[in-house]
Amino acid sequence: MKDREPHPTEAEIQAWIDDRLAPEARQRVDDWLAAHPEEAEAVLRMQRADRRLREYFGTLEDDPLPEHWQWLLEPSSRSRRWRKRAAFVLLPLTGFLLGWMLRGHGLGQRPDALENALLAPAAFAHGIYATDRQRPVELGAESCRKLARWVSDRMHADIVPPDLSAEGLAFIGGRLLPSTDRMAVQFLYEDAQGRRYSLYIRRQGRGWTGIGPRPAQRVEGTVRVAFWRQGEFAFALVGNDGMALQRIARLLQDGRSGACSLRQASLQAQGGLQKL
Amino acid sequence: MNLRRQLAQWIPHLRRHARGLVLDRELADDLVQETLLRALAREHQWQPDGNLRAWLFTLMHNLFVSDYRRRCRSPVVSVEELPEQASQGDADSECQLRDVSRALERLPPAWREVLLLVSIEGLSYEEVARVLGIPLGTVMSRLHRARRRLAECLEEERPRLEVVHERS
Repeated sequence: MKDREPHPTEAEIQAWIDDRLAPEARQRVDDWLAAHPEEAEAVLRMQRADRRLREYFGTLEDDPLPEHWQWLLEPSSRSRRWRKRAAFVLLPLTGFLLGWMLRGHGLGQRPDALENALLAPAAFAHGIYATDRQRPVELGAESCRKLARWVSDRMHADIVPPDLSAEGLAFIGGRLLPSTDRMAVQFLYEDAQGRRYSLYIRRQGRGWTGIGPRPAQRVEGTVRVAFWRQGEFAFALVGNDGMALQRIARLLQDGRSGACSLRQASLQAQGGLQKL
Repeated sequence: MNLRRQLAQWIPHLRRHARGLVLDRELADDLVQETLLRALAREHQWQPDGNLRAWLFTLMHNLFVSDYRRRCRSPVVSVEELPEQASQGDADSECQLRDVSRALERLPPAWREVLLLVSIEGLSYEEVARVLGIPLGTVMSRLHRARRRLAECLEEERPRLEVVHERS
């Protein structure tokens, strides 16, 4: 057993943090760290910081590609039909497939709080209620003000169902739902073809990573979820068409008026009630 | 398989790396777009059996250095200066996200590049040296300094108890 092992070099310490040292060298550094607790603490701090960095950045997002990039990646054919087909093939390949493959590779091996508390419940609730043709909502669009008052009371915030008519979506109604440790509200919409979208809103939770102010998307089973945060709330928009979700999400972020104002022109001052 | 189709699979990685470099999504997408354009413009230089990922990161590095480095967020703050107080009303998760992003801002771009390529993109040290055009020794010393400063910044900004995920 050697006494007085030399101080590991900076390079060795970094390789140790990255787990890229050969077993012998790793053992030497392990032993040295065990024998020098104060300096070991500095190394462990670096290791922890690195871990946080990887948690913040580690997963790949499957944001749809900006539309203006489509042309970059298709061959020089100029026909519109080609462009549409290329986009259709490209998005699922890069977004969905890549994300799906990478999920299995242990990038970000921690339990995914965002998944458990927002994405899965939103998708699940969509699956239950969006498919229900008889009673999809608790309170319908005709009781919009009552609905807004009810959810605002229970959620302790001023909440008005957003108006998505600019994207061709009619407001059907909403309900309250439990979401792990918090309450959530679900608003349901329908387009002219009868396809439904749900907007699921709850306060953000502890330890959530991977949710930002600009919408990202994930596939959850048979649906897609676009999700983002704004103020203290998290939003999950559920549907099937990724590009449509992105457009609707953008509309939600810019949107000002509520669906209730469509129903009752005599609604009192919108001022405070617009905030979500 | 031609270059265009291969490019598509690396786009999420390029976007992620760009976001770490310039710390702004829109600017990052600009950087990625220019990288793609440059790659396509130099298609004739591309060897089909070469390491495409490394080539793309090299193109991005050159663009970053020549143009984007000065456009990204980088407060001229030394680590000895007092950090901003975290505002009281923040939801915990927002605090956590901003901490890493703010800490990254405080790394000199040259260190940030090395750190991201090693930790996030998982390149080998030799690959990083080739992509950035620097000696291996420089890669390691920048990596060391980057992690040391990252640790200092993160510990400054989070006075509360950290939840550490133990490696088994």
